[in-house]
Amino acid sequence: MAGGGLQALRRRIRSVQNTQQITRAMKMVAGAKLRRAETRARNAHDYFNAIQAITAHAVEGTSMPHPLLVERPLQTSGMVVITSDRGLAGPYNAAVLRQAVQHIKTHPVPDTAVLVVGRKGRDYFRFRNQRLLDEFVNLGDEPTYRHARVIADAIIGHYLEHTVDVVYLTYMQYINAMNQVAKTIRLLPVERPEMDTIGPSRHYLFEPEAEDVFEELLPRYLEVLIYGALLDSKASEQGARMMAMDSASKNAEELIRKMILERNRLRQAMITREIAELVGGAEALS
Amino acid sequence: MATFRLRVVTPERTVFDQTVNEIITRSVEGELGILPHHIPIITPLVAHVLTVYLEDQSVLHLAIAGGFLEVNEQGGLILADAAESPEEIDLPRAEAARDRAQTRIDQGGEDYDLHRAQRAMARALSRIAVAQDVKSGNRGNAPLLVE
Repeated sequence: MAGGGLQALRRRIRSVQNTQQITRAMKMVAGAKLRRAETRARNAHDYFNAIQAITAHAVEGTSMPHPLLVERPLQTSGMVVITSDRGLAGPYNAAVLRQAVQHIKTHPVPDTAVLVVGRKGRDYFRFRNQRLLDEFVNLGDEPTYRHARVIADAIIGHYLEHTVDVVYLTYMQYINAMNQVAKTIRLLPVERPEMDTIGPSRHYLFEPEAEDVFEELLPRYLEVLIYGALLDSKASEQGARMMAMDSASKNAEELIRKMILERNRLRQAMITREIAELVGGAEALS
Repeated sequence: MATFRLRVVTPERTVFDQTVNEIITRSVEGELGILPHHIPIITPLVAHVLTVYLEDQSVLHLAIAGGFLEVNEQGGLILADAAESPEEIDLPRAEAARDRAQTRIDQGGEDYDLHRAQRAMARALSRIAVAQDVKSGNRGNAPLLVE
C-alpha cells in the first residue's frame, strides 16, 4: 500500500502553501496601500487641526443661534459609521461596529438611524433591521474630499429637516499600523469647547457678520471632520489588513512546518516497514 | 520692522509657513491688508491672488481658491481649499477652466449653477493672474465677481 495518509498530507501541504502565497501577496498590497493612505492622512492633519482650532475660536463665547449650533430635545439620534467595503481586514470592521452599537446602547434616545459608509457596515445594519438613512459604498482605496462633501451634505440635510436631532460619527482612528482605536465623536450640533480649555477669551471680529461666517465655516468644518475620518479609517483598514495577513502567513508557516514534520515521519515509517518486510522475507527464504 | 507668522494650509498639505511683513488678501467683503498686531479676526475668503510681503522684502503671490482667514496674536492662518504658487499652476488648464466657466455663465441657467460657474471663474482667473505674474511682475488681481 503506497502512502496511506501520505498522499493526502502532501496535497494538504501544497494547498496551505498556496493559501500562504495569497495571504503574503495581500499583505504586500495592503502594506503598499497603507503607506499611501498614511501619507494622505498625515498631510490632511494640519488642515484638520487648523479648522478645528478656528471653529473652536469662532464658536467659543458666541450665543449665536445658528441652526447647526443649537441643542434640540433628542428624538432621533443619527450615527455615521465608517466601515470598509472589503473584508479580510482582521478585527477592523467588527471593532468599529461594536463601538457604534455600544454607543447606541449607552446613549438611549427614542430612535436611532444610521448613515453608513462601506459595504461591511451596510450589510451588518441591514441584517439587524436597523433603520438606514443613507448608505455610501464603493469609495475605493483613496477617498476624496468630494466623498466627504457628499456625506456632509446628507448629514446636514437630515439634521436641518429634523430627521435626526444629534449626529455622532464612529470611525477608526489611525495611530500606527499595529494600533487603531475605534472612536465616536459628536458632529452635530457642533460642540462648544469649554471656555477654560482655550485660555483667556479673545474677542474675534467677524466679517461680514458672525452669522455669515458660521454659515460658511460650520458646513466646511463638518466636511473636514468627515474627510479626516475617512482618511484615518482607510489607513486603519489597510493597517489592520496588513497585520491580519501577516499573522495568517505566519500561521500558515507554522502549519506547514508541522505537516512537513508529520510527512517525513510517515515516509520514514514507510521505509522502515518496507525494510522490515524485506528482511522478514529474506529470513523466511533462507 | 515688525513681522508675524503666516501659515497657509490646504487639505493636501501646508503650502506656506514663514514670517512675513504684510499680506494682502481678499475676503467676501473686499480686499484686506493684514499687518502685524492686527486685531483678531475670522473671515471667509473668496478665490483671489494672495500677496505676501516676505521678511527679506521680496514679494510672493499665491492663488487661493477660497477658504478662511484667522488672525490672532499668534499670527495669521489661511485655510484654503487649494493654494498654488506660480510654478505649480497649470496655465492651459486654468484657461480651459475659465473658458468653460464663461460658457456656462453665458448660457445662464439655474441660480445655483450660475453661482458655481462664477466661483469657478474666480478661481481660474486668480490662477491665471498668478501664473502670468511670473513673467509680467504685475499684481493684477482677479476682478471681484458678484457673489
